[in-house]
This record gives sequence, structure tokens and C-alpha cells, in this order.
Amino acid sequence: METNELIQKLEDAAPGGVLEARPFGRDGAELSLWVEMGAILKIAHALKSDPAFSFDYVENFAVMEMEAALVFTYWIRSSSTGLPLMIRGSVELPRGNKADDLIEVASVSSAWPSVVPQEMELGELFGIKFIGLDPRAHGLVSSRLAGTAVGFPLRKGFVFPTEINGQPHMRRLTPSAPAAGEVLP
Amino acid sequence: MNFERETLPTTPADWVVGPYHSPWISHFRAHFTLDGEIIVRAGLEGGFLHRGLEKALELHPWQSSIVYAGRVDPEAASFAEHALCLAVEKLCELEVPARAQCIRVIVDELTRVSSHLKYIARIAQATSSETMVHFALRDREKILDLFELLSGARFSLSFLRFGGVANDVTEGFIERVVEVCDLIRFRLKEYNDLFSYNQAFLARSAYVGVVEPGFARRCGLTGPNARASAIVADVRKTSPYSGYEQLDFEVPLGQGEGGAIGDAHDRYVIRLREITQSLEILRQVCDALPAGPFASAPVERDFKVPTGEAYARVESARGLLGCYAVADGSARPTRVQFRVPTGPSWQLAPMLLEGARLQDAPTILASLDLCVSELDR
Repeated sequence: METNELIQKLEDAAPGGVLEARPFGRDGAELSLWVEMGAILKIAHALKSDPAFSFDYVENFAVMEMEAALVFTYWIRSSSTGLPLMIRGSVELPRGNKADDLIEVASVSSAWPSVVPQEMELGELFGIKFIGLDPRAHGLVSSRLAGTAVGFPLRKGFVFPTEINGQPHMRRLTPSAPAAGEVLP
Repeated sequence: MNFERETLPTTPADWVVGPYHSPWISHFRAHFTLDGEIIVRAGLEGGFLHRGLEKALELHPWQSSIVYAGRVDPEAASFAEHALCLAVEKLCELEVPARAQCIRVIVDELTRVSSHLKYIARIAQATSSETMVHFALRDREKILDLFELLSGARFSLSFLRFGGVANDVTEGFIERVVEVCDLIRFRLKEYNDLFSYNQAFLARSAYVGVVEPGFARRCGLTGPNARASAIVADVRKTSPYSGYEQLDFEVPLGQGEGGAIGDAHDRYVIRLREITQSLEILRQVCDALPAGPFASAPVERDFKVPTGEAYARVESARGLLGCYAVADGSARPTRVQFRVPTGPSWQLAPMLLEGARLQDAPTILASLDLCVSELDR
């Protein structure tokens, strides 16, 4: 797979969508493409449908918060050639980064159905609304508890509740337990 | 008397089963819409076992992270520990001594055998073969004894360390591993005689919960479930780690010998064959365990990981287990995320249940080897 050819085809499918190609990690063994998250769905369909690439499933999907932005990383792979590729993009958090502000991002589940469980999970933990994800899908929060959760725990600004179901939260009961963002000695 | 075949009129009924239900493999709730005994709509609901492990990992030092990684799947703890160690070793550019790599492979393969034996017990329970449950659990105890001899713990060993393992193998451990391998190799013949090709088990598992290869690919299925659908997918072969590239073993694929390729019986048979391959790997590693240190350097209390990010993959007992680790140079992780193999199987399960008979539901769910602990991490 030629990187330039890949970028050119993605540019044709989503003009201005590809920001840069960069090796991932210290060994640089895997290629990562940084893209505009607004063009992620077009890029996903282009990567899947082009027979030269046929990246047809998502091996892993991760989100992390860094420098007031959410960074999205998709590890995709072609089942015919076995080749891997990383697609990355970021979305700025609203000013103040309130732990309960929802972020909206297009779901890539129409191109890669294997991403559904991870979109469900990360949507609930990071407060991301994946546009186009089946609304019946729910991941971690049991229907019994839906609507009772406060904030999104994997955001850096998440504040642990002082009590749960009328009981003091265990982090407040144990004097040695760290608050969010505090390092244990 | 003249008995005429009669079709009873049925109206759809909604059933909610779980989260605590003995035929279920773990804690989850199943929502069924039944027409008679046919499941016309199915949904699985998790979230009853969530422990916030990925958040906890961000709040504690790197040194503690191995313990938390082991809790991703307590039944097969070494795989997540191994993936985390590989990711951190990539970030720190830590060399792992050859002896430590071999000990890691021994622990992983023993864990794989233990996990597959538990799988056999679960599918035997789902198909009401009580004797087979006891046979499989009896033999799994031998593996847990080995873990105890090695680390002092039977579950959640927390035995791996960044740059190696916690301790060298104890005296007589390697000899005991070889003995247990010989015993289990003999027992597998018993399993086949008693259970694998027993008509009662075949009737309950053949042509049940068939996963077509193309469908398995689209869902991102990995591990034995994918291999049962004849998809060649094994991280130990495609991206070898910890010296697997030097070992001689095969990757068995489903052949549909009981019914169709990718049915519940194939998923069971694949695991039996994988146990045989794991025993072969264990024999090779035990025969050629190199001398030398078991760790590159002891991990200090204020162990810090240089700024960067890494992703490592291992082949767990259930499939591809990935670990994405991000460090900012401080004493604790910025982010640790696990890609668990149960995710795709969980997504697939309701599709297999729809159209199946209610009595096949425990078999389908057990045959997929769902680990709710991985999902609800």
C-alpha cells in the first residue's frame, strides 16, 4: 500500500479531510493518518469500499482526553490483505470542559459495524453522541440505571459524587483514597 | 385413539431473564420476545459488573496498573497483564530477558488451557452433561495448582512485571508442568469418548448458532470463535510477541465436522484442539527454558514512563486483546484502554439468538465464551 496513493484517494473522497500522515509509536511500525473528524464517515466508506485497500473492520477504537480535546483513534484492518492502518482525529472540548457537555461525532458503524460495542461504551464513558448509531444500542449503563448517571467518568474533569443511592461514596469514606487527578503516595 | 397434529395459537410473550440466572455464564440480563418457543427478538444488557478499571488505572501509579489489568478478566488474568506490559515496554524501550519471555509464554499457555477447560465445563453445563462439567473442572484444578506453585495465587496472579516477571519459576515447577501436560493430553481422549461426539451433545450443539465466515469478519470476531468459522486469525502467528515466532504450533480451523462450519459444536471442538496446541507449546518451552535473569530490572515504586503512546496485541483465550497506553512522563498513566475480544461476540449474540429455540439460548451463549467481566471493566 503506497501512502501517497492512499492519501490521494482519500482526498478525492473527502477533500481537505486528511491532515497528515505520521508514524505511530516509538518504533513507527504503524502508519497513522490524522483526519478531520467532520469527514470521518466519508473517509471510512472510502477506506472500506476501495478494492485496493478494503479496510473492512475496526480492530480497536479508543478515545482519550488531552489538552482540552478528545482524541479519537481507530485501528482498522483489511481482512483480505491483513494490513493495519490507524485513523486519528480530534474534537475540541467546549470552553471550560464541563464534565457533562456532550460532544457530537459521526458514527462510523454504517461502514464498520464491528465498531458498535466500542462506540456505545465510549459514548457513555466520555459523553460522546455518535450520530447515526442505533439509538436502541446501549452499552454499560443498565436500563434500570439509565438517566441516573452524573457526568462522564473518563473525562479528566470528572468529579466523583459524594454519595451513591443515599450512601456516602467509598472514595470519601477512606481518608487515603485520592480525589480525581490526585496521585497515591 | 386418533392423535391429530395440532398447531397451538401463540401470542408473542416478553421474557426478561437475569442478571442472576444459573444457566447464564455471568451477570447480564437477556430480553427475549418469544413466539411459542422461538426467540423472535433478543437483546442483551450488561453493566451489572462494572468496576471502572480504566478510570482506576488513571488514578494509580504505573506499578499498580498490572493488578488492575489482571482484573479485566480474572479467569484469564495473565493476558491483559501481558498486553499492558508489552505496551509499557514499548514506551520505555525495555528489553525483556529471554527467560522472562519463556516464563510469560508458559503462564499464558497454562491460562489458555485453564480458560478453555472452564469453557468446556460451561458448555457441558448448558447442555446438561453434569459428568463432563466435573471432568473439566477436575483437570482445571491441576492448572490452578501450578499457578499456586508459581505465584502463590490461584486466580489473578499479578505475576508479570514491566521488563519481566515477578519471580523465577519455583523448584520443580517445570517438571510439574510437563506432568500436567501429559495428564491433560490423556484426558482429552476421555473428553472425546465421553462428550465431544456424544449424540446427545451433537444434537444440542450441531447446526446451533452458526456464524458464517463473512458475518464473523464484519463483526470483527477474533480468536477461537473466528477460527471456528474458518477465519485464520491468531496474533501469535500474525504479529508474534514474546518469542512465539520461534515456536512450532498450528492454528486449528473449524471444519463443520459435527454439523456446519462455525456452529456451536465447531466452537467447542476448536478449543479442544487449541488445548492440544497449547500443550505442544508448553512442551517446547519447558524443554528449552534458557538460563538467565527473570527481569531486566526491578520496578521501583516511583516508576515513570516517558511521554508517548503505544499499542500492543496479544492472543488471549478468547481472541485479540489489545492494550493502548498513553504516558505523559509522570508516575501514573494518562490513559490505558483495553480492546477486549468479548465485544464482537457480545454484539453477535442477539443476532444468533433470534430465530433460535429458547432451549438453545444457553448453548449459544456458552459456546460464544462471553466474558462479561471484560465488557464491564
